[in-house]
Amino acid sequence: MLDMRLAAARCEDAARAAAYLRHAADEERHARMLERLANTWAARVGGEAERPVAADFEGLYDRLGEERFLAFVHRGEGRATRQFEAYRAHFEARGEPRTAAVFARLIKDERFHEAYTGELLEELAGSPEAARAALRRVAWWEAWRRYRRAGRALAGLLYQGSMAALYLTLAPLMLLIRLVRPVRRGWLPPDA
Amino acid sequence: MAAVLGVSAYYHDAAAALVVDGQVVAAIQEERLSRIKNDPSLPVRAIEACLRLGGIEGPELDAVVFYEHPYAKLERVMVELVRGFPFTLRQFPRALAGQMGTKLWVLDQLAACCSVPRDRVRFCQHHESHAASAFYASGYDAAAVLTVDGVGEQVTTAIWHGEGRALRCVSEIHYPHSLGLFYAALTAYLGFPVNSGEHEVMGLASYGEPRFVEEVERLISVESDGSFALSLPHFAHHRDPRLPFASSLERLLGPRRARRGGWDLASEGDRRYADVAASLQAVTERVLLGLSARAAEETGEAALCLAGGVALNAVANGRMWEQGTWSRMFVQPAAGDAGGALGAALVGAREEGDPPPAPMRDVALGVPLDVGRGVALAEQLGLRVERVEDPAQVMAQKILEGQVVAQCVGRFEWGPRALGQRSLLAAPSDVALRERINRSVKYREPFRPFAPATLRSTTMFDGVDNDMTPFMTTVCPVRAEAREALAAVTHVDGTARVQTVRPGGALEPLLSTLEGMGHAPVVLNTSLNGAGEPIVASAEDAVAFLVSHAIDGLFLEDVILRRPS
Repeated sequence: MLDMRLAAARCEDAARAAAYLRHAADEERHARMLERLANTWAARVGGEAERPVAADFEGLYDRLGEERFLAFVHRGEGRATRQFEAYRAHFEARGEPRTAAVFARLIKDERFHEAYTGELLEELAGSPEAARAALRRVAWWEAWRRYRRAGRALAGLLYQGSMAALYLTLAPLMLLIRLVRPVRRGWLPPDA
Repeated sequence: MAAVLGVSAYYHDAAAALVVDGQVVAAIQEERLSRIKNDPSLPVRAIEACLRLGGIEGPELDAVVFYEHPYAKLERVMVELVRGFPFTLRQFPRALAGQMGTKLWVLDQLAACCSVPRDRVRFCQHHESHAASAFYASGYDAAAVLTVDGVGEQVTTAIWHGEGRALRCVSEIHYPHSLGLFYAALTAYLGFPVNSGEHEVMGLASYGEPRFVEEVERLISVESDGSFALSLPHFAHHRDPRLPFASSLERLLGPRRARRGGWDLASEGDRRYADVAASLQAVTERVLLGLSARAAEETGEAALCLAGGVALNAVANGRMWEQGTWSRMFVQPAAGDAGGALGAALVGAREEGDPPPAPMRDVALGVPLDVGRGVALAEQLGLRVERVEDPAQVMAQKILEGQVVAQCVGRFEWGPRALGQRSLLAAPSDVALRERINRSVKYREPFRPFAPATLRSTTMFDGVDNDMTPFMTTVCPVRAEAREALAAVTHVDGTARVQTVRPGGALEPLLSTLEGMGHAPVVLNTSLNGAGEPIVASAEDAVAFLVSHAIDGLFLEDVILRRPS
């Protein structure tokens, strides 16, 4: 949602900027619909829904440029459509038509988003071939991003382990610090 | 004469402020431009915007001043991690990564970001930034300055003495004894997010009875000299900032409230939490009154300046004002960490030998509105666009008809309050309208109050004649005879966080028009933002707000935008 808002702010063409704003408004509405759904389910099982997760932001418009940004959104909307179709089928099978109807509404919007971004991409790229090339480039970029994310997760685990080992060596320092840097209370002179 | 950029970053509320020849040219919080609430990242967008507004390039800056001492901060964090062994195991890797990965290199990053030589980038102390942001902006010749927040490098509370250009620290209280972290711990206990839910706690407090004061006082002891100390076994901020209170606090006050919405103040459970909030507020006020008395005693001054996150507690500020200790009081409108950027810039300007800034009368220090861009977007979105000759007249009419309208004019505000430049406005009398805004526009708890904006000459409130009301940093009692007319903006305790509008203020044309039409010059004024979002900054943000929220119209200066009928 924030990436779409940023795209609207950055894009000089008012028609495309308006399309991005409308898209962001749809995503915001989706977030509210899903939040209501989560609250309904939580209430049903006597549990508590978490507060809504804050929208993430990757600055994709600036990083990728408008053409690849559109290609990325187009692919993402396609993925979302397929995911929501799976959810709708699941809830229909479970006999929960209300929940399935929520996903049906989402699917309708996602399909529209997929279609309009496809059209804009083609317009911006200049031809269907150029648009397909942009989609291929973005697919490669996404694969590279997944690889880097996996690498970061692995490095994070290694870092956690090594820091835990380092932490254990700090035990003697703890005694020293408690001795020479005791917690002080009350008013202190400046730079004390 | 110099151009100095002040920057705060990497904790919460990153911001940049530009001071040229001693005068504040621009001050912008990064969240307004990035659209990420409380954005802590290096404020690259805010820096660029400040430089653009100042008409200068990065290399022309004489100094870039960071708002705190990064090495002293690292030292404090490391000492606390080791002191807390073995309970800080989980926190250790994360804190070390944060400090060594980014925070330690902030001065180099600023040099690169602004394209200035590294030797032009320096820092001042966290609480010095806060103190400077309040004292130099106040325009007072001399004042006591009280800075109270979570924690800076080491200091959590400090008393300063400002005289002319000199600002001297008199005494301070060190971490882990922190009034800000005390309030934060109970904010988390009540199920609100720390660093943004404190306002909600303050609003909730008025709905409760302070029947847990005795228990809350076991968490914090106040000495006769005005200092305070936390009962550390009840807190965990020195061990794990993700949950800043210990399980013993739950044994004292009962189980914490889960982090979910849906408050029902008629239920016994939520009433109890409201009582805890009321007790917290009462104890916080007591501590602040002690600090205020100590500041008066130490400095002998008659004026007080306040800054630091705790200074955003408008109710406590009102209580300090009521005491009569001070003849004048000023609270930096961006009292939290964002304000540190302005303070750092003002300290830098002083060091460069520049004159003091003009007293802060206006906080429209952000990026101007691009009306043409808003109109172009609106037309593309199929919204109704109408240019009007007298927007104040049209707006007044709509407000009198019970409509909720948004106003965007000029540069956006500095600080967390919408003061008319990016505001949502409605009639102050209609409680149903207040409920509608809370439920359908802002999606927030029913106990969150709305504030009135009024002309300075108003007679509907008591005690508005001070230096805080122009910035909504205090509350004032609503006179009994005015409560019905101000039902939507009078809090349950009979007070209101009044904004008095000076001549030339963004809301002055509207309020004067209302007065001219024979109505009270008061409107309900709340910030123009959706739930969990920063306040609107640009024309794009404003149009996006209109598209997604149930309001009746959006004024972009003299252009009114509406949804298609």
